[in-house]
Amino acid sequence: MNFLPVITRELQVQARQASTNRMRWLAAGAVMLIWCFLMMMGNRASPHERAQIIFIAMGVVCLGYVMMAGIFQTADCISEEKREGTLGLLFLTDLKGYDVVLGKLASSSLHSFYTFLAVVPVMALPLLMGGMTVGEFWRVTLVLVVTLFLSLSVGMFISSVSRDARGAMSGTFLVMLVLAGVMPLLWLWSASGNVLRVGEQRFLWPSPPHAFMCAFDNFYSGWRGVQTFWKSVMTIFGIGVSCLVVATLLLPRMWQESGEGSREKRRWLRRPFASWAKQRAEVAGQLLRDSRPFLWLASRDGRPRAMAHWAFILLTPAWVYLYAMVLNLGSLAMNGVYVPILFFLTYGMHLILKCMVAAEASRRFSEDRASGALELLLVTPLRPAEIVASQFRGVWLSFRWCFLTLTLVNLASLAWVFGADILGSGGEPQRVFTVICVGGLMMLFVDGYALINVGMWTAMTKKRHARAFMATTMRVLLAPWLAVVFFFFLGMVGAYGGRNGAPEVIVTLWFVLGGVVSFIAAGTAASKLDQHFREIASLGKVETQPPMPASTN
Amino acid sequence: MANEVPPIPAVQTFGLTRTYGAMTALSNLDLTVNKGDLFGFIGSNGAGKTTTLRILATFLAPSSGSAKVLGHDVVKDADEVRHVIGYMPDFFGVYKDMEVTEYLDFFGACYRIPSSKREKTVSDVLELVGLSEKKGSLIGALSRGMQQRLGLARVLIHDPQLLLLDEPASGLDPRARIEMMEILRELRRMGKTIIISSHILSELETICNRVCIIEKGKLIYSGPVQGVRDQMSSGRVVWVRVSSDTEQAAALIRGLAEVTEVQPIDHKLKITLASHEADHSVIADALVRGGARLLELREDEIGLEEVFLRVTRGETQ
Repeated sequence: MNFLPVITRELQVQARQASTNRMRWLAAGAVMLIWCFLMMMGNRASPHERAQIIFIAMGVVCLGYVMMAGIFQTADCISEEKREGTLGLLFLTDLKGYDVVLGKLASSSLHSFYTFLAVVPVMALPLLMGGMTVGEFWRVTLVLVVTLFLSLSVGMFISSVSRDARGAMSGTFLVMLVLAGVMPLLWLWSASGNVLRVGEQRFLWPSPPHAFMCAFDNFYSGWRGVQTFWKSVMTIFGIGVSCLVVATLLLPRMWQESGEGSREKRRWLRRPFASWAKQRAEVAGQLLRDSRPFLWLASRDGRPRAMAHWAFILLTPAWVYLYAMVLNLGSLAMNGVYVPILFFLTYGMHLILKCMVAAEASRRFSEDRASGALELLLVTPLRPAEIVASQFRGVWLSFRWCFLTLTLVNLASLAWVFGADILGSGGEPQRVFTVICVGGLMMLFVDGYALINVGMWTAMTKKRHARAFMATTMRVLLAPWLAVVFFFFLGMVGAYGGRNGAPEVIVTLWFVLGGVVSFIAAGTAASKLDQHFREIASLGKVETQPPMPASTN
Repeated sequence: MANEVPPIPAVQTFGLTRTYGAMTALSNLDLTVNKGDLFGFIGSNGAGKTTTLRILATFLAPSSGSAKVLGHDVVKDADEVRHVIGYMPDFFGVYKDMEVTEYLDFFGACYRIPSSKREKTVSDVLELVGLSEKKGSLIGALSRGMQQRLGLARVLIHDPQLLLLDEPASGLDPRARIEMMEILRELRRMGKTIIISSHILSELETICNRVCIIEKGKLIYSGPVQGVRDQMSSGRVVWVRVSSDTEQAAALIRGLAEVTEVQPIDHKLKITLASHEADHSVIADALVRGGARLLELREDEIGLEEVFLRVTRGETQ
């Protein structure tokens, strides 16, 4: 096999990036910080318990990271080469599909693999405290490695069949969501409803969180536990290998497809929606006639809107069904599986919408900067403030129905919280669920506002859309995510000492922290967009000393 | 005696300077382009041409100095400047998923052209650049030359008085280049002032009335095309071929006041004239009167390419 040239080229590119080294230090530092903090706070738990909880905490954070790795590292690596036309140059040489796929995989996974390697020694520290076995450590490490492989391979497969960054990243996210979330939900559904009497365990095998759970001694006991763990690991690995094989076979056949040809081939897909699309084009055209050109530009691409609508058309009936079950079962619902599923589904819908908003907010400027179209726009009488406001409005218009749906979802959840007897009027569960519903609703809009602003700014500063998207989600959403994991494990190590009201304090803190982070991020981004839009568009950076009294026009 | 109308400046720069960190891209540029000029902007890669055009287009702020476009300062009156210029960078900057008319309609709206007038304007500019038949096509499906023409149509959509064109003919095939130059001539006839930067100097030479040469951010020359030839050439050179003995013919010419040097080279005479104003018909007279049979008399003109090479070799100091 002759895939060394591709690896060499890619490694040279990676070696020049300071982030390759920085990420390792950051990851190891972050995990060390979690470890130290949990060690200091967990006075009430025994050292053995603390060791176990710290290990699980670090494992959960790592699992989240490796599951997301494919979205940011590999999902756009081949599709980007297709867009830039460099993939064709590789195929004009003697390189085969597997050379390119394996070469790109090796180079794209370097970041995530290095980061992972930096974290593993820190994860081993709890071993010194006892309370967990060497077997657990290695099994968890194995699960993380195969999950990383799965995530990167799924990204490679989606990238090989995609052309645009948005589709590739969304596709990878969707596949990982199905494997990690939908499959266990199917298992839960089949198990509780006895719809499928045989083989329901198979739904769990492709799920990395399930494999992660099975790696611990509590589950890895007896022949059945051992079997389940290895079947799960092998399934995850098998899916990863299959993705690579399919990508290898498809890539040599798909790299040339472009432009009109592919549009023609996809025309049958659009036919059922032709009248709707025509109607939408008419409405969009009115914006142009009303001399609101950038708003027209920002809202003319119906794909993100359609993608969001389809996602919610599929998810909302599932939510309504679960909600009806919860209402039907009344107090039994609390003992059943429906309430947690309902709340996880709601959280998932919030998360999907926020990710879509981040992706769309950062796309327009990112693409226009790359193509040079932004430069052309900035020499017209359009003012930067008008461009930014129109982009904001365009993103909002694309997702407003989804925001409305989630508002209703949260309000309906709140109605259930107050109507359900089991929660007890004024009791702690009711207060916690109330905070979750109200806080979640507020954060939906606060985060939405922040994601659009930060997305527009990162699109101006990052070279690629994928990086802008990643930076946006990290700046706005990462802190609350890390905080909630952190607070959860703080509770597990007994940091709150079983005090009354601790859960609602944790949840409230989560929302407050998330709100503060979002407001600061949104304010900073909005201010920079206001002051430096033209400068960043022309120079790619903000100059420390502005050359002349800058025109704000 | 007819009163000569003094030229009205369309573009004036005063000590225009632009730095990027420690690098100076443009240094104290003083430049004047008159209304109605088709002005060639010549310089090697990195000389500062694009930086100048970007400053004039209000896309980039100067580090120091100032520039005026049709009387408006590019920093203080940027909005007014944007209404009167059309800027075409050296890349397409197109939305490939748009149709040709959609694209122009969009930019027409950006220039605040009322929607009632836009359809006709779009149709007119498409006709001017020869793209009427492609009005319903997707931009991504157009050839490079057509995309370049579309870029020119975009520039013209709001009927600007000044066009700033950065390498408009780069990457075009010979036919497309010739057509592009024809369009530029036509635009000049329509009264537009055009500043064009290009590496294809032979073409600039034929269409531009004035040029400037810029090297390492500094202005080397600005003026008529003929002026730069005169300035760069060490003297006018005339080549003569006679049927008789070249040495005898050389002797007939050497005595003339208009001639400084005569060199026989390969059965020809290379004659250097004393001044740019010297009349070379005296050479033909002298030869005929001396009985030599004149077969060819040709003046050796220095081209812009030669001028440019001399400038970039540092032969101007």
